[in-house]
Amino acid sequence: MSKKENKMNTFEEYPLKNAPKIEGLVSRHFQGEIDYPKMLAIFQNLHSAGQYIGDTTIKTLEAEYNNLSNCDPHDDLIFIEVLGKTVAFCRFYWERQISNQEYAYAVIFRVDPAWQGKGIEQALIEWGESRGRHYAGTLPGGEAGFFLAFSRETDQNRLNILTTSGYEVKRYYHSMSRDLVDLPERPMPEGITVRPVLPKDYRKIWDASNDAFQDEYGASDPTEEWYQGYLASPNFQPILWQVAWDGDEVVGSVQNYLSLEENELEKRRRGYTEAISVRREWRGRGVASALICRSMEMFKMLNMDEVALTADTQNPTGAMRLYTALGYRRYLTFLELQKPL
Amino acid sequence: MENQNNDHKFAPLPQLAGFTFRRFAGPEDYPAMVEIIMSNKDDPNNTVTSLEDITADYANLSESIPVRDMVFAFLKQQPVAYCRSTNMWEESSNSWIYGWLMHIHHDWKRQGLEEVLVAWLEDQALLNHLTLHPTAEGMHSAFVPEEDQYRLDILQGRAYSPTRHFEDMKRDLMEIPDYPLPEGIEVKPAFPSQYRQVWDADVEAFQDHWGATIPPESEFQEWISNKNYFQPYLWQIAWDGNEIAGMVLNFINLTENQERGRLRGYTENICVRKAWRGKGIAKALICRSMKMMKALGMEEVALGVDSENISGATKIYYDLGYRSYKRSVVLRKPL
Repeated sequence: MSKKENKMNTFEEYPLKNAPKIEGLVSRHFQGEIDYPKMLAIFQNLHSAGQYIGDTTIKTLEAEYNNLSNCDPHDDLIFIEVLGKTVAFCRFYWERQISNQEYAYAVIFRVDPAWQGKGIEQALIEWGESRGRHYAGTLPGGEAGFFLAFSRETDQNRLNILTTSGYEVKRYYHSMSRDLVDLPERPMPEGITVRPVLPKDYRKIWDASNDAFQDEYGASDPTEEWYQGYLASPNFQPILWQVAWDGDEVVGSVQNYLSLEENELEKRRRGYTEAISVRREWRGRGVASALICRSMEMFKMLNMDEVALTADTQNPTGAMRLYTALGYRRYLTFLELQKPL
Repeated sequence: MENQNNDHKFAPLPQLAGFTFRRFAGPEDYPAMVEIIMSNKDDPNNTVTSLEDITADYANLSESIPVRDMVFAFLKQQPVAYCRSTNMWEESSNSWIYGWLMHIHHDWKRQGLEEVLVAWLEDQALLNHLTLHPTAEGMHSAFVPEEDQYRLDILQGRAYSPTRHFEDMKRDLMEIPDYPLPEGIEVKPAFPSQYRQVWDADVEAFQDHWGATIPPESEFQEWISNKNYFQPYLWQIAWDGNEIAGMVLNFINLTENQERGRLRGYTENICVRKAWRGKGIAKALICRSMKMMKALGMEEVALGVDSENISGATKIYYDLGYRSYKRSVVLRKPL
């Protein structure tokens, strides 16, 4: 981004085709960190409208947008202002799937609730797709790919807009939670140990979890930017991780975290048992269950009331069954939608 | 941190044959500071740090002005030592306290640097005092482990006297006692909007301690930005309704654990506010903290305490199984 850096912090128009005719509407490029508070305001309004969970803060935005992966901050981000107020933005990025070498061209848009349903969504989707077509023409093997978007199941307007634009639901993700009462106990299999994480282990655990996630639907090769964004994220809380080792090899991990900001906003005490993974050769022995049970025990000691996670319902390793058996129940469904190039 | 005020007065730089000295040059000095500190990482009396830690600390420094209060020593081009003078208002002695920190590279200890740096620290402190607080009382103050005979000798030779003793205590997490919280007291996390309340309760509870200071507002910012100490998700806080009754502000220093090859959690800033004392709240919170540290895989807990603490803290920690493993002394002399 260095050669374009001089343009950060200053307004630079970014023409948007088929923008709706709204008085004072302009589209522009990303302006760097001065945009974070404006983006946060949109997330907060989405939260108030029941369309978003409150886990975004200036710090999470910094970690994410200072370390964008397969996304050019100048050309692959667009912002919409109406009479000087930022009301929407869209991020485009691509990922190449390990399983079939196809490219996912992702169009991620957020529109302030007060400005939804006025044609901004359609224009942003069209813009994202044009970025996708640009990359499809330049990346090696880029023509083999599809457009990708996400929506909550309950977000009927967004879903209608996406379906009308030619997107189809391909995959269901469940956000699940569980109260921290009557905790189950599952022993760690013989020979597997759990020990606290030290800074020298970060890379090893990152590599091991990527290795384990290779078998997940949609997995793509991790980039260095992902790793840097991961280290910088406020949700990177290695003190809370539960990691299983077989000698010096990482067998599996649960990368627990909690956000006191989110808990305050949502008036609850929730810990996240996320990024649960066990590497192939150690699967089927109860390592994940044992790590999750230890995590629940730990969150209880941290005075939390519940734990939560989000999982792919069609996960090939049967993760849903496992989470259900441990008492997690669905509270929200996310949809992944795709459209052919 | 940029120095706004150009009225600083600078004490003459130290002199020592073979070494050159200069003041703080800015963030480009941070890597040298890390290198000097980490050359002593095998000495348990020394702290461990990282570039990230130093950067965070110096971004919010409240007790010094680096361009005025720091000096670096070089051997040829090689940085071998640095020191920094600090100042704080101490309520109990009604005076300005000029403390310091000094790090000497492992290979260049006890070769005269300590002596010239202490002398410079005193000169700079005196100059700061005469410039800023000419009518107030002031004292030099140094915190030294009792086993560091070399530094003790230097200070006693300069007419410092031992004033107060502190203990570092620790215990393993094999058998953890169980103490219930009194009726009506609940343990809950503090949310971000309550961090200020935690800070105020901490400052208030320590007001009747020896050496209590009135921290400037910038120290609150310094506190909430230090990732090695500020880990609110590990706190155990006892609430009586919306009021904080007592707390243990736990933290785990991963860098230190890695460098020292141990698994230690700190049970620190233990306090119970006056109205809630004598009900066993401290014991209950410390035991919960130990259980939490055990659930996080730690093998020991540690804390530092003023051995003459008037609230009998040392005895509580002893009863809970903590044992002293290091004693330090505060030495002082009037300016």
